Amino acid sequence: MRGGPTRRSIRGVTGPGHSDPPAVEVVRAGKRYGGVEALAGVDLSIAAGTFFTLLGPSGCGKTTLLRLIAGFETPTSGTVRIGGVDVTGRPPHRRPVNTVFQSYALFPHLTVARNVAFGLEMLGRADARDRTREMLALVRLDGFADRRPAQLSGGQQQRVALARALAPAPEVLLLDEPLSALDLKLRREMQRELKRLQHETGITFVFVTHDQEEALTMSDRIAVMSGGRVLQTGTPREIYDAPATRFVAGFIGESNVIEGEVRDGLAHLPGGTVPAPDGAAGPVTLAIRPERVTLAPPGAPDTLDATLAAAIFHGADLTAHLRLPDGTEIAARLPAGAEPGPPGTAHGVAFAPGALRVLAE
Amino acid sequence: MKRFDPAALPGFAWIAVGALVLLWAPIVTMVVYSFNASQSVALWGGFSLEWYAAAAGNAAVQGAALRSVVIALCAAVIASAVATMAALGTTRRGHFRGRQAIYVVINQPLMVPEIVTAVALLIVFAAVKVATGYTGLGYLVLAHSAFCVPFAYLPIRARLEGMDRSLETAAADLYATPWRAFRHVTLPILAPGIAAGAMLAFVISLDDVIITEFVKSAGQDTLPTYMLGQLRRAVTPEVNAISTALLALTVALLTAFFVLTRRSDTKP
Amino acid sequence: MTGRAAPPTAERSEARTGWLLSTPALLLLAVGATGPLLVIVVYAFLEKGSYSGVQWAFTTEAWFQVLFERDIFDDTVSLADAHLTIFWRSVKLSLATTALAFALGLPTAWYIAMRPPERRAVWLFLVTIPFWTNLLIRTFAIMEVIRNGGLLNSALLGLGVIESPIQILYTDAAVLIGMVYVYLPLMVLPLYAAIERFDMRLLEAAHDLYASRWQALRRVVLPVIRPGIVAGGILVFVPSLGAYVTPRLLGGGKNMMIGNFIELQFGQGRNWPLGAALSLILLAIVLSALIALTRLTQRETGA
Repeated sequence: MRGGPTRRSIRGVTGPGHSDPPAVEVVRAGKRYGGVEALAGVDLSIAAGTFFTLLGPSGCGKTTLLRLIAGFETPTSGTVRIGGVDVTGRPPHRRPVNTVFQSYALFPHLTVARNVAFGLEMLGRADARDRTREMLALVRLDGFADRRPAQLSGGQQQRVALARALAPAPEVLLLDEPLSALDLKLRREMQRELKRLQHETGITFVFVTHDQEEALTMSDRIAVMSGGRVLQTGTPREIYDAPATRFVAGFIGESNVIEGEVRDGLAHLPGGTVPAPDGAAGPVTLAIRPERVTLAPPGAPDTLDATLAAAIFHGADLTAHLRLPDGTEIAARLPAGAEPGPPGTAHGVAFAPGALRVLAE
Repeated sequence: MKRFDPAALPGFAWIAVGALVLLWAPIVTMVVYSFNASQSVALWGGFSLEWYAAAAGNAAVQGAALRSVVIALCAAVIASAVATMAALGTTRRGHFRGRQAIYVVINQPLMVPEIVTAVALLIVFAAVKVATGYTGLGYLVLAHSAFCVPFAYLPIRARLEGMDRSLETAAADLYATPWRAFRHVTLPILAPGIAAGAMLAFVISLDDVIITEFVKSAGQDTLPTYMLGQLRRAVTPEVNAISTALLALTVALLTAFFVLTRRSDTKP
Repeated sequence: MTGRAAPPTAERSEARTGWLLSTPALLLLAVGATGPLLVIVVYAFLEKGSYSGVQWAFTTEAWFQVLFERDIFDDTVSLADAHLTIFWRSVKLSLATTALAFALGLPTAWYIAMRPPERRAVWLFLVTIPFWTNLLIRTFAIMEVIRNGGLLNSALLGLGVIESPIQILYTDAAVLIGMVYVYLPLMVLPLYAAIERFDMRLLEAAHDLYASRWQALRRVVLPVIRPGIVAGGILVFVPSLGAYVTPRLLGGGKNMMIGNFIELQFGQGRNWPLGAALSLILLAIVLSALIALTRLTQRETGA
């Protein structure tokens, strides 16, 4: 077995980026099932040692992309490289990656310890026993070595699946919606646990999820996918603050989307003008997060005229839903103590400086 | 207006109990009288194992019993082996052309009346016997293996269908070659199904009368055909004893079968 | 998430592996079951041999002989009464077996389905064990009960109900009793499966909508358990029609059914082509019944 996944020490030191080849590189990868295009020429580069998330709604191609990297599927076109080595045609058992499956896929006929040792035994590793013990300690399942998977809770099974996939110290760990079967409380706990494991092992994690909050809290970098394409790649902050397309803006958190035109450095929008974002010109689609919207007295400079449609109290804060003269709805997140008045009250809508983003369609 | 109470229909309880008595009384009678010291079936002459001793000491019974077990063992092994392969070939892969045809052929022995298969085999094997001069047990083993295939196939296929496909994917992901994934994951998980299938095939082969009667050459009686021959002459309590012994074996094997399939039901 | 459909090449390799793995089973069945059935078709159109076996010449004589017989001396053709009697007895006994098994089986299945789950399992076990017991042994056991010196006659004599033993064995009645006994579980099990699935709250709903007892039974219960009734009926009728061991032991030599009659052609009758033709007729009836059953269950489940 080549590519013996033993290089983790180096990775921990260098961190993301730098001159190392990317842990995973996908070049123009396409995948068709019969007449259905699941992936449409995806390019992706994942730096070694990062926690990388593929985020998108179901059917967006994120699981297909993960399976291409694992080798469970071969791409119809394009190339997959792991650690700089082209593995496109290689079967899964000859790739230095391991997977945590959505269903966990624990072997029901083997004990927890034998499950964790499985990959090590297949590699013929002499240290299988010690390494297994080490892994069980890492996921805090020391006392469970001789149990069967069926005797464990969902959360414990999840940890076994993690230990099993981490045991051979793969170059890349692939996680296919591993938390989707857990309840909310357990999911939060496992999110922290995964972060800790990634940090301690320094292994590159490629994490698939449809939960944007999960993606934002856990990832170093996120690729947002839709319709078999990668729409935007960036840090959680970049993705949140500067969504590149209307889809990303809508899928990640809440966004107000306003159509207008930029002339002479001013954005002409329904109900008034505001300073235009840098580099914008002509007809534009703009986006802004509700928490970057504030209320001002009607007619104040650099505000839009609006009337209150509804105010909804959430406890920690309050959302005011406003309507611009052309009917566009704008949501503003206000402090809990704000009093926007009854529906129909006239307001000026103001935007935090630099918070308006130009969307590509 | 009278209501229809499903739990208390008049007379149903009596009929149900009657049906159960009908099902069990003959069997119980047979078992009881196999221990009867008296020759007569109507008279109880005290507890005795003499008929078992007589059966066990009868060379014809010994030969037939040995033959029955040898044939059933061969049939169980052959049928479960080919059925396992067929189950792996026909389940859990995308639909392919001819899969339905494979199902039909495999289940064919369940659909055709046994007497029809029996005369068909008689015709073919008679010709082969003349042509080759071979008259050994091979014909019986072949025929039994064939009609046992669907019985072995069904539990194996059921087990396979209940198996999570991602387990083999996980094995491949953990550096197992396709053969090692089969050897270390698929086969062990499938094992109870295969054992159940083999056991069912063994019972079915052991019980067969009609096909054996038509296929066997002279001097190749199995226990059932030996009993059939005996019954044609006179009823002897010895046959009671053999039947009871066979019955005990069947019940033991079936209990094992149910335990095995029950265990596979409790999903891992 | 990932579609099951694979690109054409993968599909082809799937099919190849599927066929390859199935080949040993198919070969075994071709040699040991299916192939010989095709030989029967050929034999049914051959001339009968002078002693036994066949002569390789095409003729439809065997099919003619199924229903007619030729007088040896003057070649006049008449209906083969003996054959018709055997066919009629087979159909009559099979239908009667099915009807009796239903009369006994429906209340039994219903009663079992109404028990609490743990006791239901016990009842089912008690029905299933005789079902799996060797057919020969069961036939033999019932034979012991109904023969002249057997349990039934002894009991009736002892009670003074009768003065001399009634001859049951070697009559049509014996065959009927035997077949009902042997095939009863095949009626009970599918009926039970259908009744057990029936949601009894539907009955309450029916009563709530002013249905009388009879109306509730006919309009609500019957349609739901009909697939079970059909399945049970066919599962009993088909093996009854092809029965061989039970009529042979309980009916004696005279009260033959089709199965025994087929055997006769390969034994003393020495008319293999006729035996082959009769086998094909039996096979055709059984297969049409089974196909009807599959159609019906498909329609019921598809609806």
